[in-house]
Amino acid sequence: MSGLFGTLSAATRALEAQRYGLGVTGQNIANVNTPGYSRREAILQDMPPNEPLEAGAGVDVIGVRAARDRMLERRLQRERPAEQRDAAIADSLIVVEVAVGKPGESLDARLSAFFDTVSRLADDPTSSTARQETVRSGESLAASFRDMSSRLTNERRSIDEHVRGTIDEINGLSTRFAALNATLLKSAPDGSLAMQLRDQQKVLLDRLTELADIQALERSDGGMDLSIGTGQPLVMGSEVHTLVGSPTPPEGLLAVSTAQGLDITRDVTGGRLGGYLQVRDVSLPGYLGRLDALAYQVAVEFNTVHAAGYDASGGVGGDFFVAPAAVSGAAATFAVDPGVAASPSLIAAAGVPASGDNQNARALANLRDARVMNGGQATMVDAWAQLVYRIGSDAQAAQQEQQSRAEIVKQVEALTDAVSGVSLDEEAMMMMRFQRAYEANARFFQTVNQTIDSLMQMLRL
Amino acid sequence: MRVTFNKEFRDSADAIARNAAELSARQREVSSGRRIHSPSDDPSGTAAAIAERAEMATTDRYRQAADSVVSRLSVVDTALSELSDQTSAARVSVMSARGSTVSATQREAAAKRLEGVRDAVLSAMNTKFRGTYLFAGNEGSTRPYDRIGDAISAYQGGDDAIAVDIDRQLAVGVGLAGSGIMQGGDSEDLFAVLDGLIAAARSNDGSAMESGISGLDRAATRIASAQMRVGTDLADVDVHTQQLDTRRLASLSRLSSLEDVNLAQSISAMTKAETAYRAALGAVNSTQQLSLLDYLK
Repeated sequence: MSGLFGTLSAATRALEAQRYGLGVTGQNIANVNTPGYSRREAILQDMPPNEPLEAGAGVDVIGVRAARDRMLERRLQRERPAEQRDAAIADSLIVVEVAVGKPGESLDARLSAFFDTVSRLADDPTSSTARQETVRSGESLAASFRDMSSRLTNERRSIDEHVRGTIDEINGLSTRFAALNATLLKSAPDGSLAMQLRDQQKVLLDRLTELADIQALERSDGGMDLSIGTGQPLVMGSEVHTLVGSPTPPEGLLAVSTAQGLDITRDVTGGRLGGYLQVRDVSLPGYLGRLDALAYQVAVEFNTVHAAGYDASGGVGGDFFVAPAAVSGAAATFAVDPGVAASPSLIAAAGVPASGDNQNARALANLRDARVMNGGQATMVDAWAQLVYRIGSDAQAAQQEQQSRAEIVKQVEALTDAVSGVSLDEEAMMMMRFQRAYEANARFFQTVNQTIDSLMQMLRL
Repeated sequence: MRVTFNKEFRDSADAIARNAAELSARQREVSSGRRIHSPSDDPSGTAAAIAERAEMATTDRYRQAADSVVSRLSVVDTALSELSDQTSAARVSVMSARGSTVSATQREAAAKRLEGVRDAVLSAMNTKFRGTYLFAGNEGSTRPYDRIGDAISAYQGGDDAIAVDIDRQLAVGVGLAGSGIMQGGDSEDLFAVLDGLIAAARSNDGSAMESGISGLDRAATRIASAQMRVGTDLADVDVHTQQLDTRRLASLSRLSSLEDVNLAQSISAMTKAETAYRAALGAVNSTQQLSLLDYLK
């Protein structure tokens, strides 16, 4: 007797189980587009028999399982920072490439034009037009140097803005991550809520690893600790240690430090933050340094030859360009000497104190080909070409690195997806399975019910 | 490997993005005709293009300088020819004033002609070209000889010549020192010789006229050798101009091979990219329509 009623309740439980399975399938289909969602699987188990000769006591719903491969996820978290770092470098350098201009249209053209006018002055040293032209093209060259310097400096500042934005975003995400840790602490470790919270944490962590080289360590209570750079704590349990971006002299650019005040600017080497810092603190200062070196040499070499000559009234030549105080900043302050600009007759074209002599102008014009850069290895235009080459090859390297790393990330993402992703075809099949199983169990329930009815009828007689 | 909903869409989106980017790059190549749009497209090519353009600018400048030199030397040549003619005319005039059968009127006429020669020589020596005195050496803004009353001043110009570069390590002299032509190594310049001859013609001083003729002959020699140097220089500049032109053409050709696309290749690549793009779009369309859900009733 209890056998039949037992069977009935087993059938009821079986219906529940198939309905539960349908529910899980529905959950998967509903979340097919949810970022970070990992496919759920219903865990069903057969129940052991209550009595020795019974086959079993039906099916039991143990729970639900999230299909995740921790190893693949960790791999992804390691690959992303490198890929995003190259992406950030490539993006930042695009602007620098545009700033540098095309061959024949940039600083090299101004240098050529300047030496053209000096050469024309050598052809006709008594012509006041030639002198004025020389001053004008000198001013144009100076403006070009100043312009280029300010473009590079402005790019540094604009990247600094990105650094600030990235720090803020990291802090925001870390705070939310810590809050999830706190909630995880309070919920059952294998429960559905915990799975959902971990899915959310995965989304946050994916974004965080794009932003910086962040390492995640699982805690025993189900949450995750995060650290940045060389292991500085970012999130410990439910505690957030926010990053601080503090402007530092001399240019007021941000230094990245921990909440305790430790400067980790040089330690953050991955993610977009690492890329921005690399361009801001290494690449751009390098380019500016080369530009300044070129500006300094142009001014110093030209002034040296100029000083050896005589101007139109027989006076000894002074400075043509304002003498730069130091190599650093020489491009930003590059200018024609105001005295010469005001009276071009002060241009020392003559080699001897004779008004029509042109020997010094010829010597000045020959500086065009003089190897005065890089310790006597390169001409001025060569030095500019080398700077452009450096920028171009840095950008090209970053682009190529990023592309090859993106391939790796895509592969690992595909593998992760293969484990955790929802396949609508698969879910359609599961739907069919649970539906058919439900139908079969319902039919079984009906059969058992009819059997009980027969028994009741028997007893009524 | 399980192929999931996300993977399908991600793969499709990637394929479309990749093909669209390729198509866009080929289109830009074809429409601009250029291979290099930013330094990262070809860093060493960009650096080489910068150097090549600078070289072309230098060649152009030397070409301009050469043209200017040719103009100046042509004017110098004309002036020297004039000097040569005048020296010959002076000689003829002196000859006509010599001899016992010459009358005072004829000698006066000869003297007048000699005065005319002196004026013409002065004018030739003071020839200007684009605001500079051609025979003033390196004092190009100073008139070489001034007329002071009836006499002519000493040479006022510079003693050194001016040279102009028409290539690296190649200079041509353009501004001659007038004193070299007028006086050279003589004790007096041509004007003094002419003055002496004018006085000698008027006073019928035979020996003075003789020494004056020697002075004229020496001047003629100096003028002739100056003209020969100018002639040689003009020929040399001409040859060099052709070399500069050849060099420029070579630069242009190298620049083109660095910067320009092979249009036929690019158009073909663009067509291929377009086809690939269409294929990617089409593939998305067909795969996304397949689903088991469609087959379940």
